[in-house]
Amino acid sequence: MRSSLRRRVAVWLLPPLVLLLGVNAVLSYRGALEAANQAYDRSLWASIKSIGESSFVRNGVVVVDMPHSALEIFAEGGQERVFYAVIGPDGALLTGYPDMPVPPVVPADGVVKTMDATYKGDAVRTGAMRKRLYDPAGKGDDSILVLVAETTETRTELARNLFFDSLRRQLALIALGAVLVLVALGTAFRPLLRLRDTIRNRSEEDLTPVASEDVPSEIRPLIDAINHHMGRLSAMLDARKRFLADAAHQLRTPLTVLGTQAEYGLRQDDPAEMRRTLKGIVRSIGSARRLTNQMLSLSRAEAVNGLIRERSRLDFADLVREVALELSQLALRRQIDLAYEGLRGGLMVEGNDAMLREMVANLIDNAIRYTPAGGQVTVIVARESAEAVTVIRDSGPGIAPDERGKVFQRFYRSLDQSETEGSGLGLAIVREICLAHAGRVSLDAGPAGRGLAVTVRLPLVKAL
Amino acid sequence: MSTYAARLPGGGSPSRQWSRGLVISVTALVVLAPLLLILYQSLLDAPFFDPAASAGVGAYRFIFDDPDFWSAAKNSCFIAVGMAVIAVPLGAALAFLMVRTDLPGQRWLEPMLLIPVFVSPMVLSFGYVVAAGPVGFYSVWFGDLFGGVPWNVYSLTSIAAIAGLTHVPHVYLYASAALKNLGSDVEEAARMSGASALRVALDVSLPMVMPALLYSAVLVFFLGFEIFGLALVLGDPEGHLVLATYLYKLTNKLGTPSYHLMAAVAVCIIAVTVPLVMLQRHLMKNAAKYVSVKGKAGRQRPLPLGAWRWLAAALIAGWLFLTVVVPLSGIALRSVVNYWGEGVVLADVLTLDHFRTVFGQPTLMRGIWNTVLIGVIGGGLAVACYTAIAFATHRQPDGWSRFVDYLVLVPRAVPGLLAGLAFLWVFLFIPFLSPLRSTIFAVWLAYTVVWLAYGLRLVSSSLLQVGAELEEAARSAGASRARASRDVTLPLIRHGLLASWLLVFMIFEREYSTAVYLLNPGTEVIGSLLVSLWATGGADMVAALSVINVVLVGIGLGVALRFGVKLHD
Amino acid sequence: MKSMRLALALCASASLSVAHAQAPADYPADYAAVIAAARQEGKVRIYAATDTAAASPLIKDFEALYPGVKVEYSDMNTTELYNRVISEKAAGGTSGDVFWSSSMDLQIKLVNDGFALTYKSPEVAKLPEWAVWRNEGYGTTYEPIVFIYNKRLLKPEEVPQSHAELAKMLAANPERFKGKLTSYDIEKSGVGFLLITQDAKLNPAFWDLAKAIGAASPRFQSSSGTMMERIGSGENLLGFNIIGSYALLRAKKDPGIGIVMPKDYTLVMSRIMFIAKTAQNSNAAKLWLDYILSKRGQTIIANQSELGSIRADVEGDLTAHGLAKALGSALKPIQVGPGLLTYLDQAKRLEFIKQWQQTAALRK
Repeated sequence: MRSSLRRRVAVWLLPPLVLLLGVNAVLSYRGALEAANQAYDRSLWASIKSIGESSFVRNGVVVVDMPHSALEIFAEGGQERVFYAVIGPDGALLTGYPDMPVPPVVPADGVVKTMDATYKGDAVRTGAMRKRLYDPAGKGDDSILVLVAETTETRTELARNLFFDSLRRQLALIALGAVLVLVALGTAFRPLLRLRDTIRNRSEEDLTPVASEDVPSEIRPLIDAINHHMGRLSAMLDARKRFLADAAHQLRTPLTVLGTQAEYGLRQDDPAEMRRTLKGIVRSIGSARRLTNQMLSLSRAEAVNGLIRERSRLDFADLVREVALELSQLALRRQIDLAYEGLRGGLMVEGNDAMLREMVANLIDNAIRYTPAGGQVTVIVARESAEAVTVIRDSGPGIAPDERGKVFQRFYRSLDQSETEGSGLGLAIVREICLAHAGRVSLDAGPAGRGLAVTVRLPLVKAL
Repeated sequence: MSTYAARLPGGGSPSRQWSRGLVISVTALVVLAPLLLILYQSLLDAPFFDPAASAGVGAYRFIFDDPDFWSAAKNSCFIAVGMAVIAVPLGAALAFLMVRTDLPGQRWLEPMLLIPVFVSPMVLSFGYVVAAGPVGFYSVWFGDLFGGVPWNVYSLTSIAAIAGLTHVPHVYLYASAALKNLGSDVEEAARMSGASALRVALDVSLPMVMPALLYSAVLVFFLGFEIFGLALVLGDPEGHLVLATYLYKLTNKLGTPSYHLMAAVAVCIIAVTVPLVMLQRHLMKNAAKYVSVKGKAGRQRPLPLGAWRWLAAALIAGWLFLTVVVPLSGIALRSVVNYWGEGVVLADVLTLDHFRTVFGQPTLMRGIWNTVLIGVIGGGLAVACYTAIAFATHRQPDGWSRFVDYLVLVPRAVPGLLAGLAFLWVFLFIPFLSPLRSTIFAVWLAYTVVWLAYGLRLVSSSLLQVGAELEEAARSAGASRARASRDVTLPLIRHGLLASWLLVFMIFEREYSTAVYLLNPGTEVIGSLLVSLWATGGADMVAALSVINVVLVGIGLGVALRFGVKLHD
Repeated sequence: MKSMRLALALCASASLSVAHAQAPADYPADYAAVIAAARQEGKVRIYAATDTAAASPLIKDFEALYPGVKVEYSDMNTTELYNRVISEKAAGGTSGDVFWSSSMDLQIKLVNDGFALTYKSPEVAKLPEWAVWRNEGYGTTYEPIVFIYNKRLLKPEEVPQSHAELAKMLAANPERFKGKLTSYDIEKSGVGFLLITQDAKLNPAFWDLAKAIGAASPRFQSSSGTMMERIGSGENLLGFNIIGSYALLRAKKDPGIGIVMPKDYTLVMSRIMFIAKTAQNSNAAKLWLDYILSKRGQTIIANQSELGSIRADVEGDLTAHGLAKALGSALKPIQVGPGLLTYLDQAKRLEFIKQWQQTAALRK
């Protein structure tokens, strides 16, 4: 793990470097050859020019009077074999070696053209020049072609020397570069590695933000993201802890009540009294069961559990209507008038059917429970721009405006409703589910400042 | 040799045809391969093995534009004509005197006559320079006696004269061989009817030996175009060029050897000789009517010369003095002195150091040994080959014979220098031959081919003297053609063959230019060593080696005579 | 039987003298390997345009120094040598391992045309710079180009001491030298051509000299042997552009020959040696080349072969050292290099020959 970080970078850096070296080597060999050719072509030019100058027409016959210097010039510098030819206007060999290689294009007059070629199985450098003779009796094209070639041993040796010199330098540079890359890799990755070590060495509980002061700026967003994530994690953990503590606390209360009722009942001899006590116990158990159910719902609803992820497309208006219909029995029992107003279907949302039912049920149930008998609960479903808006209004006591933010917390119970059986989880569940569906939930006073109006807005599925 | 000839199987039979075909095709191959190479080379603009060579007639254009070429051609014609004019009458006369008359001292004269043939022209001409040059031994004596020297050995006329005199033996050999095979009955009859010796010679003998004379005239004419050593040594100071020395000059004129130019010159020389061959063939159509060996050769009776005999002897002695004594005494003297010239007392500078040096050098010793070998064994083998070829065409006047007749004259027309070069190429570029290149075989083959015309004429001259009736008689008695050849013809020409061997031996001993390009460790012969030493300035060594060469031939000839090999019947 | 005994003797001497055949002290360390490889090859084939007589002391000494390496020496003239080299190369068969010729231009052409093996001799530092080209062609001898004359017939005051004097004398008294002057026929002799063109290059008054020569009806010969023979005999009196080494050798035997090294400038020729690129016995060839260039070889070249030593550290009259003492800056060595190719150019050559013929030769 420790080396692979560097290897990754090295693998990405070094082969391209070597490739570059190869390209550079080819280029510098070409360059060296060119330099060598430039140096040695001079003798070739001089030789060709001198042959050209000693060629002339006498009595209509082309005379080539090979000057000494033309061949002797090659004795001076190198030790090359020399070939030459002079070709007449008609393409016939006037003198010299037969079948010499000729550059494909030789300009008309006086310009020496050089090229690499092979003659008699040896690599040669050939120079060619056309020379006009200005033969008074000539018929138009009276130019002769002068060719001189020398073997390339000296050139290639010089080029090779130049090349190997530069290659040596380049190799040294590359080696130095590689060392630098390795050193740089070490240095550059040190903060990252240190960070990694720091994180790895943390205790399991430590969720404090990672220090980001001496971290390179490129990594800071990452650290920030980590810290952000960790903050959320720690907040969530806190909430869990609190929830657990609250839940334990909340469960203790009905258990204590049960215990007290049971002890009371044991002490009674009168069966009627015992029977009443038992009824009370049954009620308490029911209350506790509801509490646990709701806790279970809440935990399901919380996004971290992931249960809410199974979604489908459903008609929210139908859903609300069905839930309201199911709860109409309870409303009847409590002599509350439950009314449903609004659309019959046509409000398509994306969501988890069970959860949304739970949410709507909770809201209607809450409204029914907190509304005194003879009161009224109205469920309104409407479309408002791209949202499905559901308002549940009751004629209950309502919630004081300063309390409205708190009621969504778990186990919060409005002070003046202590007598009502309730776990204090209902609205928390609603909020979780609503948030999970990207919706919003708000509390308002009912019409005419009385009662409570809970508004849930859910985004509609965009029409296809 | 007879065993070789016996291998020629039955006449008219398929196997006879087969072996005849083989002989002819092998001959054609060895003659034409170098020749075609030369022809091909003359049409290129660079050595034929140079990948850059391309075809064209530039070589011909070059030499035809070169005034030197025309001057050389003119000189060559002059020399060739001069040679024929001098050598043919002299040779014929010599033959008549030696064969038909009672000239005194014939026995010991006979071998002497051949000495000019023994010695390479290079050496002869060097001998002339030493003996008869402006400050030569004889010139100085002559000048002391008469107050001046009337001759100039470096002039073109001198060259032609010397060439003519040194080629008398060639004509003599042909003419005398013909004369000896002719019965003297006709001459005797003429003599009886009161004709003088001169009349007899001109009116009777001359027409009878005409075929031989024509042959030799053509041969001498060829040789005239091929003169090299003589013109090289004697023509240098005044810059007289002949075609062969022009060709030699082309080696250097352009700096690098210009094979294409040399080949073009050779082709020109060949072009001159071809019409000569045609002419010769035309003349030969009448050969049959001179055949005079009938059933039995008539005994020959010498023609008495009377008082003329002394004049004739003096003439022969004078000729011998000029062509043999002068140059050879010069070279012999040169070989035993350190230096010579005006104001040098020769007695003071006598030395044998040159011979000691020659015997001390393994290369030179090997050269001497090789020369003996190639003369004796190589000469014998060559005559065997020539005989085979002669039999393949003898009395079979068909297209093949005509083909061979033209064929054999061709290599002689190619200057020896270039023929040697062509053979070097053949041995270099024909894979299975290349291992033989540095063996004496290469030299032998080149010599045999180069001297094909000469040897073949020797053999076929003898053959022609055998009357066709003899062979026909044998065949009508039931003998096969081969049998007729073996049992009738061969014995009749046996002496002619032995004489041919001897002549070929001499020619091979003296040949020099052909081996120059074939000179290698192992193939040294005296001739090529002489050229090589001459170029590097070893005049001492050249003289000593020449004397050794002459002595070698002399010994060989002595041995031959001692064991009864007669030059003539 | 005899040859067997000889072979045995050779074996014995070879095994005895292995110890002698050590590389010289200042040679590279791996030279012993070259010697061993050369002994494996067993021979070296030399094509030379140098007299066997001059070469034989070198051959003997070399074979004594490196027993087991036999020298096969073929003496031929320069043109033949060139012919052999190019045609044998084209044929691809066996050829010589070392080529050694006085025809400097042809040798340089062969080197230029790629026939030579590149081999840096350990002796190279001891040679003058002008004598080595490409580490392929090596100048091996130091042969001044001289006048020779007949001592008996030419009075001392008649002998020219420089080219300028020669021209003056010929012009002043053409009849005295009529037909008595000799030199190379430059059309027939490559060496003669090389020397005359070097004259033309060095001597600003060359064409005046040529004119004076032409007026004397000179006798041109194709070989140095002929010229010396004729001057010795008195047929000619004076010869110019004679290779000094030959003349010295001749003068030793013939007291009638006198030698002059021209005071204004004396050309110096050097026989060029190179190893064939396709040499079959390349190691033995290297030994031979190094031996020829070594002090030991050069001492023999100077004192036994009479070819003149090119090394400055070899003492004697016919050495670069001795001649420099006598002639100083008048010595003009012919540079071993591509400049020699100039006059091998056919057009140039024919042009020069034409001009020479019109000025100096008999034939106009």
